[in-house]
Amino acid sequence: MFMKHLYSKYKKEYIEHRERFNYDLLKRYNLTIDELLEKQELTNEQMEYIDKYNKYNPLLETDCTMNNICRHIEENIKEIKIHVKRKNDDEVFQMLFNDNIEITNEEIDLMHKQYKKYQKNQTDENLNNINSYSFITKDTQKLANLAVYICYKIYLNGNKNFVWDIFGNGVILNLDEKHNSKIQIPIEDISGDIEYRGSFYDNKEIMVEL
Amino acid sequence: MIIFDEEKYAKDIIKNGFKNRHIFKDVCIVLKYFRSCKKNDEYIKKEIYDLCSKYKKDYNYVKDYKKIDFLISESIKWNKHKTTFINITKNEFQLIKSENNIKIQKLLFVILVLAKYYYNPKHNEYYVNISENDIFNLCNMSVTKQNKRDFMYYITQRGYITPNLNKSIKINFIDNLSENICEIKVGNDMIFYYEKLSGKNVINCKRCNDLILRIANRRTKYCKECARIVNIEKTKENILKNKPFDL
Repeated sequence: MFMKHLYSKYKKEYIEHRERFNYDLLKRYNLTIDELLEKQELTNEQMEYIDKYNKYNPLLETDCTMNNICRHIEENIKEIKIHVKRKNDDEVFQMLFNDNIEITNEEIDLMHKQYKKYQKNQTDENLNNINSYSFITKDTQKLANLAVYICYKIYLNGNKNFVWDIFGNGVILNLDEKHNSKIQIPIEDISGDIEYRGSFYDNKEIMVEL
Repeated sequence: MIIFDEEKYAKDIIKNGFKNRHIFKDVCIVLKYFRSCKKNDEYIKKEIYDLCSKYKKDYNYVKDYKKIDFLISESIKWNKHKTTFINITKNEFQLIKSENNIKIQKLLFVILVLAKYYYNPKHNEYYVNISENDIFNLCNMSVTKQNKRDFMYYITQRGYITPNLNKSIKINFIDNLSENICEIKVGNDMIFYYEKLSGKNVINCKRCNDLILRIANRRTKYCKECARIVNIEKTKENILKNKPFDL
């Protein structure tokens, strides 16, 4: 069963196999395959069904050591994925937005209208060209700030292509200004706090030249 | 989403661009339309490449040409599914009506229509190979996920359908021998034929001619989609009418 994580072809076959059996089982017994496998008292028909499921399964779902480890990790990863999804977008907004550049409500409205046009037609050449936004302001950093406000404050769950495809350069300039051209990255250090794959790292500040 | 009128859908794609997230599904429909118009390979190739370069996001000839050429060469073998009319017989309708639950009745009706629409004489039996979500969308009723599961289980236990591992269901209550009581033009509004047979007030939309249910004490004229479009047009007209002119 752990093979599905190594070979995507097996994973595809395994998912298809489960979907087919679930499709049939839900109609015949009103149970999913997992519910049937966990059931204590089975009829003869249901036992034959499970035999069929195991016979045509492209992977082995036995209780071997590797399969048990795989199941244990899958359960834990589910928890991690749930926590990652709950991450606050406000954190990202605070990172990208340049507080030194002020934006007015009128400018936000104008950028908002352009954003809506972009969402309807993302292949439009005009809308993908930063020069066509010069009627709002000619300052690229201010335009980037406005786009970040729209995509990371108003439309939290929306597509972020609008910011990065058109105003990416302005966002980088804002970041550079905000952090005085300094960034922190993990560098290998024996006395570091961060342990990863047997090595130790420490967050160190470096200067970035744009 | 099931597309019943492929010709209309193809013309809409050619005019307004791709609608499906998986654009090659739309390309297949356009190819079927061109083949039915008996266009030659050169014309079809040129039109498809123009369409992709115009409407496909991140279109790249080098990445996409193999797949497009393959689809064009395969499209010769495809059959275009024409919009057809199917008949509902008296026994079938009475069997559906014998169920107490109106939602089960609607579900059985939709499954019956789809089975006859997709009937292939080679198999000699009636199968439906459509996703459950599409079937329930055609029923035009609100159901929870648990309801869907329970309804499909119920109609299997009653013997109306037999599921199989090919993700399709075999329909067991077809009866073509009794007299026909209704002819249905298969489309997204098929459930309104059932409402009509059940005695409800069903009218045609004044704009697109699809069937709609007329609710008592309301002046319903248009289907939901057309009502939205007509409302926008009327609002624009009113704005222009009432706009004060500059002196």
